[in-house]
Amino acid sequence: MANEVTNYQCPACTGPLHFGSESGVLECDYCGSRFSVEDIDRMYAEKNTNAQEATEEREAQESIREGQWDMDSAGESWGQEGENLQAYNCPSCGAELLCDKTTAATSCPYCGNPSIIPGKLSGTKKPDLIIPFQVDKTAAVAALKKHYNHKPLLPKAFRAENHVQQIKGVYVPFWLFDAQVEGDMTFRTTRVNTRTTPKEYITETSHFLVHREGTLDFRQVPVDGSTQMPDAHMDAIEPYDYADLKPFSLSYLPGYLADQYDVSKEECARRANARCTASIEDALRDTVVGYSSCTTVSKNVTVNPGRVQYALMPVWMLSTKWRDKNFLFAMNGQTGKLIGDLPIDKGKLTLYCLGSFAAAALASLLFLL
Amino acid sequence: MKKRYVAFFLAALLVLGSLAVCAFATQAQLNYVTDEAGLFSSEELAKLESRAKAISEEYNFGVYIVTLPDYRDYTSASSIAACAMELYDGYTLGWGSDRGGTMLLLSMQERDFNLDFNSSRANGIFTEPGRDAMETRFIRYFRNDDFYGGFREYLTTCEEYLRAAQEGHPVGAEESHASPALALIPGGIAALLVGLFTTAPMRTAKVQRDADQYRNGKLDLRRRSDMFLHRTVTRSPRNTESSGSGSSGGAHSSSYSSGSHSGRSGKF
Repeated sequence: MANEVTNYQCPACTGPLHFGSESGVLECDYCGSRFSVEDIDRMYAEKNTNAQEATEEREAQESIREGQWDMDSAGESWGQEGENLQAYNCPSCGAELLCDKTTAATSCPYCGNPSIIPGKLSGTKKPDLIIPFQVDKTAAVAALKKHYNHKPLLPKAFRAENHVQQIKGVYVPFWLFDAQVEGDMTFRTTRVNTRTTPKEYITETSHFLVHREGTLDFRQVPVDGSTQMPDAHMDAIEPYDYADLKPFSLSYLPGYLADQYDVSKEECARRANARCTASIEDALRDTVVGYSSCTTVSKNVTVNPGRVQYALMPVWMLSTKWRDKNFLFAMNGQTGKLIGDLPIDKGKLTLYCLGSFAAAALASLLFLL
Repeated sequence: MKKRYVAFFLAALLVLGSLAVCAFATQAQLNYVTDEAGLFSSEELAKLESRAKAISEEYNFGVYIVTLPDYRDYTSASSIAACAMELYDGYTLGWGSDRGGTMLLLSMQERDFNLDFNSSRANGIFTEPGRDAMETRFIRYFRNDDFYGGFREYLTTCEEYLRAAQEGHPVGAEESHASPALALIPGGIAALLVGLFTTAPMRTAKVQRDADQYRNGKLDLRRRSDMFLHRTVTRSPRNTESSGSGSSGGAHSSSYSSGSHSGRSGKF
């Protein structure tokens, strides 16, 4: 069943509008007009109201009679697979397309028009905040090429044969957690003092019981709320500059994919808690100074939950395929930080290890002899 | 006429005999065993002399034993090591063009000993680990006042070392053969470090462990206490007596090297 789809059209020429990552406004590719997010929001609110009234009037007047096709024999049921898919009609060319159930914004592969699928946004929470894209697709591709540099273990064939299979700008759903964390830790420490007399070495070890108790505030600890995005990739492209956080508006979405969250904030809170707990443990441990050794005896950490916000963060996802294996890279759409695992040339690695082994062993041998 | 021939023949013998005595005098003017301290019976002295001579001749390497009541009575040298070198060089000891040889000298007044080696050939035969072992072997006899036993052990050790060197396996050189195995350790560490450093940039997708970047302000430390519990004291004895650079094996000695001489001296 097709859902209602919105794409923003230029008020001047009706061409499609997309959000410009550099300009920070909605731009028309055809006539070059530019519109602020606020103007387009206001314009479309009026337009939707008028359209709703006109539709209701027309439906009251029309009566259509159609014959019945034998639809049952065509195709099979999607079954369980269909639960994760949704269909929509492109408002520009009319193509009916399938996309993932969590996709809220995408672009039509036939006419390229950026579209929002508000049908799927209803029923889930509306994001509170968004960081608009500030790095474009060209920069993402350039960053990936740069990522290959200074990697002596990268197979030469990978650099030559590998091509970007897919590149997509995605607004990834994140939960941002505020918390105050209380920590209470006890350590056993020792301080060792060694002195020498004419007859013997004397080692004095003083043993202490050290106690530390403190609190630490955390603001907007991000945890991605999408199962489609690997946690390792999303964590590694942190941090985002929260100074650019803006109140959410649909007008930022055209031109990019936008996912809805499919991991609840309760589930994500566990990861946020674990990260905050690790931080306060480290902070308390760092205050234990001046000792030769320190062992944790007990720890008690309480996380006092605070505000939780729902935000969309810009991420460029790039995927490449080499020798039937997929390689996924993620780039922070705000800061341009790019990460992703690369293949390792095992032959080169062996050569480097053996070379360094031989050099160090030879040097040691010369030294020993 | 006949008497003239006999007289000429006797004169020639006398000249040749004198030349032979002179030649011996330049080869060695000290016995292989010189017991000025009177530590040996005549039988022991003969046995030691005979064995030292046999070893020296077989291996073309002088092996000498000298005992003195007090080395200071025989030399103006300030140390027993200097005394040993002075005796060795003064009596032109040693075999071969390099005057290779070894001398074990005891000075009984203050129970000093000195083990001297001359020539680079000696250094190859008597390695530092070998000297350590050698010292350990004879010193225990001297500590029990078994001087004959100690010198007999010295000669046995010399013979073993000379034979081993002749066969191409000097005693103590095995330890340097063990060094390749030790060299594997830094090699392994280097290979591991190179592996880690080169593969680290290839793995950049990592889950964050902490939330340090999202700390809002500093740690508010509400309670802080450091309570002393108790103190433990460990004492271990210092080994202050082994001052030698190459000494070990529990012997009380210090090493020296001077010109073609090297060796070690100490108390027993």
